[in-house]
Amino acid sequence: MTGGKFTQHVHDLGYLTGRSLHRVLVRLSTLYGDNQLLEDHDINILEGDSSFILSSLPFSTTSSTPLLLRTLFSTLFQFFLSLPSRYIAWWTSLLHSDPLHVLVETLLIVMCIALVLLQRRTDWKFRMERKKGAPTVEEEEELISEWKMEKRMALGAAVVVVGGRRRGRGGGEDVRLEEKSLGESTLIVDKIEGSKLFFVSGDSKLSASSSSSSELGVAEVSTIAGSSSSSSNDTSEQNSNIPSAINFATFDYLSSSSSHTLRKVAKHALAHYGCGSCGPRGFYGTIDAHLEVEDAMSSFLHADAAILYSDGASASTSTVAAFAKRGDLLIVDEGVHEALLVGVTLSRANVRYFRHNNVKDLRRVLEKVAAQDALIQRKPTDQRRFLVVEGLYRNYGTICPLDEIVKLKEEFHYRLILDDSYGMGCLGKNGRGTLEHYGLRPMRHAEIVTFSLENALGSVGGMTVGNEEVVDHQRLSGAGYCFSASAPPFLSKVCLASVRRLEGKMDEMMKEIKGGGEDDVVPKDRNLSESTAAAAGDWEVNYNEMTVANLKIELKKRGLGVTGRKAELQERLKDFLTATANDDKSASTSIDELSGPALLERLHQNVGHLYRTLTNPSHPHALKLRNRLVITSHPQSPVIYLRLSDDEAIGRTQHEQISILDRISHYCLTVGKVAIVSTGGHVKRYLQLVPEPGLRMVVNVSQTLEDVEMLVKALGDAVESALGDAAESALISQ
Amino acid sequence: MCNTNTTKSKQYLSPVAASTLANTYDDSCSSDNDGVPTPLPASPHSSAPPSPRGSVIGSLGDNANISTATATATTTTAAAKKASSSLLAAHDDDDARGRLRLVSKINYSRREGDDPYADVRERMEALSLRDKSRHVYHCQSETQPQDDDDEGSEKNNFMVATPSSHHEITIFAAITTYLGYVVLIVTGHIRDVCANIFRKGRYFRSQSTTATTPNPPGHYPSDDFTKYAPLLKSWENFYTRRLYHRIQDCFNRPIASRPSAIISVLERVSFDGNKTMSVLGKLSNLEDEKIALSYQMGQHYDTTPDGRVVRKCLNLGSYNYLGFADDWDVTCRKDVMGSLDNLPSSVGSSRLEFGTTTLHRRVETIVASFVGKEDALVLNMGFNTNATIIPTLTARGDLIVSDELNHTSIVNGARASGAAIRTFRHNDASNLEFILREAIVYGQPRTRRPWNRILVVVEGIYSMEGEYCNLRNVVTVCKKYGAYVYLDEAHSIGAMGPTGRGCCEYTGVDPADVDILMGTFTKSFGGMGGYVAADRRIIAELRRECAGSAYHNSLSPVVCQQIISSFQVIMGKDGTLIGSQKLNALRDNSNYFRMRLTDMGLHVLGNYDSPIMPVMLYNPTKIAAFSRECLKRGLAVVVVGFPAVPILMSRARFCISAGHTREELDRALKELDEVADLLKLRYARSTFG
Repeated sequence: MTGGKFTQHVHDLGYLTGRSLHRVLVRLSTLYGDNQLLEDHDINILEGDSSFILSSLPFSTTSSTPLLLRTLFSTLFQFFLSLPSRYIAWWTSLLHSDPLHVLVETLLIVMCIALVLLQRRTDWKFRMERKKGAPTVEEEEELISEWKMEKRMALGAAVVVVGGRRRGRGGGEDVRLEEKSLGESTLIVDKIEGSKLFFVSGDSKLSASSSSSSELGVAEVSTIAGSSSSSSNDTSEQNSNIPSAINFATFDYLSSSSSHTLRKVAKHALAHYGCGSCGPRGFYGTIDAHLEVEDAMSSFLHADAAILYSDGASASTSTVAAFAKRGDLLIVDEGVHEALLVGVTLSRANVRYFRHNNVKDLRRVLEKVAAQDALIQRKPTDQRRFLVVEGLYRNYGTICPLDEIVKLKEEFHYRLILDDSYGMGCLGKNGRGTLEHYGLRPMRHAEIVTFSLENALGSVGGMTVGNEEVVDHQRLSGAGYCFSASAPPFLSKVCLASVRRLEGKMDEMMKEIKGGGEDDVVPKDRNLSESTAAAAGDWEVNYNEMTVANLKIELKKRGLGVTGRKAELQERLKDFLTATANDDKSASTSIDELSGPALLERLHQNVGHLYRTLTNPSHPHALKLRNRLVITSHPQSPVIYLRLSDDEAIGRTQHEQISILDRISHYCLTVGKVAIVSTGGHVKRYLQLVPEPGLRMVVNVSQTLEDVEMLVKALGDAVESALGDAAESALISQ
Repeated sequence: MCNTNTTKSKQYLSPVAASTLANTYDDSCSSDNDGVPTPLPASPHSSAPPSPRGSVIGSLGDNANISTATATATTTTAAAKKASSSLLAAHDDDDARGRLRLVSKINYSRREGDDPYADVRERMEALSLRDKSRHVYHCQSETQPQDDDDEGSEKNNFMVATPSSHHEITIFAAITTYLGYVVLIVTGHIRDVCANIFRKGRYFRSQSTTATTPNPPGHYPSDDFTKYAPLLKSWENFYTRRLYHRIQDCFNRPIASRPSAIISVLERVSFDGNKTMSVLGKLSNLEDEKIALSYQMGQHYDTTPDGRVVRKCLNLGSYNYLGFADDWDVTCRKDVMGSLDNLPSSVGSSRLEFGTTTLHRRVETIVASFVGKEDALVLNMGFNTNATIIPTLTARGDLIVSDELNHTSIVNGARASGAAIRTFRHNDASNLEFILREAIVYGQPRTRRPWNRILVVVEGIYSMEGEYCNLRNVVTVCKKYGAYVYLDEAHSIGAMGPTGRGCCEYTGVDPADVDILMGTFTKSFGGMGGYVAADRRIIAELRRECAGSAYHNSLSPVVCQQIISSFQVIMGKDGTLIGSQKLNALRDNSNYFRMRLTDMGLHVLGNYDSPIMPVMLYNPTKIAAFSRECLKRGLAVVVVGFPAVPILMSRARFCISAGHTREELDRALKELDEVADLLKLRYARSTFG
């Protein structure tokens, strides 16, 4: 249609309106007697309708207000009356000349009105209905009090377990042990030394249940005032009274917890940094120790960058949730541990699970996704896609077949999120984790590698390594990084020392610490009577600068011969001192001397040894386990899981199985003096696949052959006491 | 003169008054009371050091003074009442100021010697009382009847001179802020387009190069965007690249010291236009001698023992509320070092297995007795405590009603729990009541089954607002409707209340009425980790069922010892008064700083007695400018931008510590005054800042 006509019409409408307004104006001005306006302005406009105005002119001189108003109103009234007719005239002419325009415009207007009105109408309707159906205030009060009195559940009461697919024997039933049978759960560790855990002394405390533990606490409160240093002195004297057990329980593969060098590092760092960091990383909680350990770790693992979290579990959780968002796709091994699974849940991405460590099933799932892609013509680049696996599975002790998974991931173009919390520092020749175990590299084969520093590395916290993009993104999006206080700097230093230990550069680090010498700085206002300092001073006798007399005194003190020349005396004293120093340290700190690949080799030897002993058919104690407990973990895994064999498990409910295993672990602890963990009673509601109840043993480097013998003997005895003699039970079953 | 109808104020020491909100009034009055109608709060615990004023006056050995006869307390109370109202007007009113001085002479002369804030004590206390009466006890003094002209005028002054604690963003600021973002975004897009055209740029990832060279160094299979979706979505990535990286130097500043009152901020440089920041290190790393000289000439230039360049700054950003980072050597060092004799820095096992040491149990007993609960559970990380406790307490079929400004950890925990989540307006108990009422009456959506449990989650101090929780009303409402209360005291424990027992103590709520008390040790205690305290039955359940206890590794024993040592100091069990001194100093420092900031005409959020004070900046450009200007002047401040706060509400946040001295704060205030002029920040005074 022609635009010119439309403009013409608009112009016409405007002209008409303008003319009418002008007329009113002129009329008004006449009423006020200002004839000037009438004369000055274009008189022609008035031609058509001038009679009315002119007729009213004579009154203007004698005008009174009512009259003036009346005329004003009549004019306005007339004008408004004429508006519709004029509009109709304009509209009809428009309709004639440009019908399409009119149609469109009308439709638009109708739509607008409809939208506005209909919207409101439904709203009203909704509200009215709500009001009609709503309970009265009295009824509401009744409902509320009823709910409060009867329907409300207590906080901390049994939670209905929802979700979580259960497979495997007896997996379907939800076992809820009212009386926690985990004997070790209430054990309180008082000291860790070598491969041994020392518990708080006293039989009552050993068997203290969680309910009575608070009474124990009350007793402790009174002794809080006594400083811990005095109590530590006591414990060293009472060592014989303290029940101890060989540690097969904590994930402390490299025995970092009993390493004296690491403790020294911790002390040194504490002296410099104090304890806490008092802020999140963003707000002055970044301390140079954090940057240092991030650098060290990224270079150790041959990654571009690393990011440090203050908690291992939240590292896993936050890493997954930082990258996968709604609409993305996660293919997850169903055996992943809780923290990783929470990350998967929080990401709100689409999740598909594949069977634990089952590459075939993974392929099936991946192909299914690919088939769906083809069906709906979705490109793989439309969606971020990740495979989520663990390196060494915490709950199974199995090692992920990463080589095959990497092949699949490259074939189907997925990125790999690897949680190596339990494999880092124990798998691979240099302890670089599962990737090294398979000869793979971070970033190239696994885009995102996250792991906890709490297991092998003896620190607290977690890390994620990857390329710069991966790491930098988490610095803004990793919830556990952004919104949580950073790790205490001394823990970062401990982690750094652990990394150096794995690299075999521990000596350099210790030299630095010695160079700094801040460990020995004694604050002025408090006299530090650290027993370690005193001990250190004792064997650092400066024999080179001693006089002969002093040398003799020193030698006599130690019951050595005092004859000979000065050099001989010095030599003798020196030999003795170094020998005793070694004697003192050899028991506990031989581990400290190991570092780098040697350390890992020791660990792998220990793993192999334990595995061989357990499966040795000619071993008298291992024989007792035969056909009753089976090993379900990977032969190279330092985390060893035992479960009841099929023969034993059949005919027993899961509850019974758990209590048998609990009894075994309790027996091991109390009689065999070996700490192992029975995992059956653990909470299950956070897991996708609930593992079968089992016994968990963790190998560490400080365990000796005797320790392993003790473990196997304790296990054998425990199994016999819990399940009865093998021959007997065989007879009964027959 | 005794004016009972006008002195409808509450007596400090009345335990009866503590039980109700604002209904009971005490008719007691004192000799010099001329009827100033400021209602005064009731003391929460009659046994605790009773008046907030009492607790702050004495910095040393004042406990005896505090717990002396009630009669004197009443007298001073009445005087303070007068002072509180007249002082509020004092800022504008010379006459009032004159009178004020008189009052202060009478009441506070005795302590002037050791009180660094003696000259402003009156006003600080009055302001703190005002905020407390408003936000804790909800008494509106304006409704009091008046029969004296003089008093009336004073009351009017009081009303006028009282700035509203809820600042709205001015239209000018809103427009310029939006404009700022528009400019930034448009510029960013232009730069992106240019980078694409010229195939060059900091962020230009050469996707096409993979075709020419199959495996260039630094290139990984997943960089091939023909097969992989980009790892980062465009907007997130755009925000990071074009907005965040521009001001990256204001965040994540590394320090080379303890987070004490004076920190050494490591100098950083960027060689790629702020894309990455690297620590400068030694001065010799600089090639240009002129620049090196300019560093050396800097007023706050310093070096670490190994030669790295640092800037000595006053720390206004760390959560070192009680200053344990400052005097760590005196207060905690010995015991913390001693803990390493027997125990390692990490046990490597979960709490449920072998991760419980004597120290963990000790911390738990102390925490339980400190906050007034039967038992407590200590977990490794504050964030994780929330994120694992809430899913253990609630499950599908439960309802979590959460304050809209709650911390991410609470949000994460609530989301992971599977429970339904509703939010109520920040600190609005009536909105909470409405939501609870409707939830109970209508039950679960669709099925209309009743909710199994309703858990109301609030925080003690909101870390981005500096406001304390409206706990009294929240608890009243929750009790009425039978909802459980979960109080996150991450920032308030150890920092609020006369003895540092947190929000409950401050607001006078019985800890028994709060079902779950959660808190962290990162802030006031200079440690790490979090606790949850509740009835023994609940804690026993949590120990068994909570992922943080069953799966996650336990807190470092060394940190446990740090917590124990700091608790001993706070509770005075170390045999010194350091703890109470710290608490008093924290309160005084923060009230003084807040008062002076408000006087400057800045938009200061939050309430008196809270150590966190956000100052509104609004404009995105001012975030960086403020931070850089402050750093230049030797102040380490925290600025907060978009992801953490709403896009319009960029702010700077000061966290005051007991380790600060008045001289340091005065210096900071002087510098801030300059910066405020420079950046036009006085939004409370004028629309245009």
